Amino acid sequence: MTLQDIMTPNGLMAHNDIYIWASYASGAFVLITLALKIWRAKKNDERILRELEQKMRELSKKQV
Amino acid sequence: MHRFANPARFMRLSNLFLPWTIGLTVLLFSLGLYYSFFLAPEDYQMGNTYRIMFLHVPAAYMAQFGYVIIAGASAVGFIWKHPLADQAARATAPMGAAFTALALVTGSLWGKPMWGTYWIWDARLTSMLILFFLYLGYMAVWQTIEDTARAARIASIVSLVGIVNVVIIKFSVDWWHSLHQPASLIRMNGPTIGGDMLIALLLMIGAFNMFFITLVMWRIQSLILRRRIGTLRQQLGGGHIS
Repeated sequence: MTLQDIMTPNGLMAHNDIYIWASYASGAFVLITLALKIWRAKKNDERILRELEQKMRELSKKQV
Repeated sequence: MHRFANPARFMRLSNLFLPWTIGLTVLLFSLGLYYSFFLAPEDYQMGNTYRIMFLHVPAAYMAQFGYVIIAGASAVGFIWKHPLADQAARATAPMGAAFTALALVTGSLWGKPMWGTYWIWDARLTSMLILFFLYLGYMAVWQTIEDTARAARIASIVSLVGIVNVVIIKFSVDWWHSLHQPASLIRMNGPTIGGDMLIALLLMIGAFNMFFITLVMWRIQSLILRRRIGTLRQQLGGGHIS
């Protein structure tokens, strides 16, 4: 099968197309959203930790 | 196992593994989707609609695999008090819930053209829905109980009780009459599908596994960082940086 077969009226798009594409669209949505959410949360935690470590360093310098 | 239970060592090792798991995820998804759409032939009964299988089956496998991981890690955390075990179990839950939801949605979208309905209270479908609620319940325990040790203990019990449902999911199509087809991949006499269909399915399962491993590592890293953040905030006298 070629990409052209998918896009032509008699190809994949013609028969039960809505169910196939809805499945893959929902799959892409779930997987991309999940990956982005988890990656962003990790980046945010890294940023907060860096800021707190910086604050700790400044505090210990002041105490010295 | 004890070596990996050290959070600092986990952070170091996971940072080494992550570029490889991300690369493999992209590679396996690219190959899997190419095989699924371009190389796997049309099914003689279901036509092209069967291609939903390449998404539905890996999602359903990962939904069950995720729960087995949670139960296993919870048992380790409950019995041997490994510092990372409870975090690993907790980190896995959102992915498991998302894969279960995806399996239910793609299953419904496959069911409509094949069975004429999006949903039926069939043993396989119902037990998958129960799995979804178990994931939600497990996550709710972690969200609602502030004392981490107590939350870990109760969440462990929830996950260990719920493991029975995974066994029910696996054998539901053998134990009860079901519209759902019986196992076609993991069975005593070998897979009932072959050729490019099997390759496509295995590639997609591999891609889902790598994706899952990548996300779990990110989540565990995040949970470890949050513990450090909590400790630093206490040392700084409860001051908050946002």
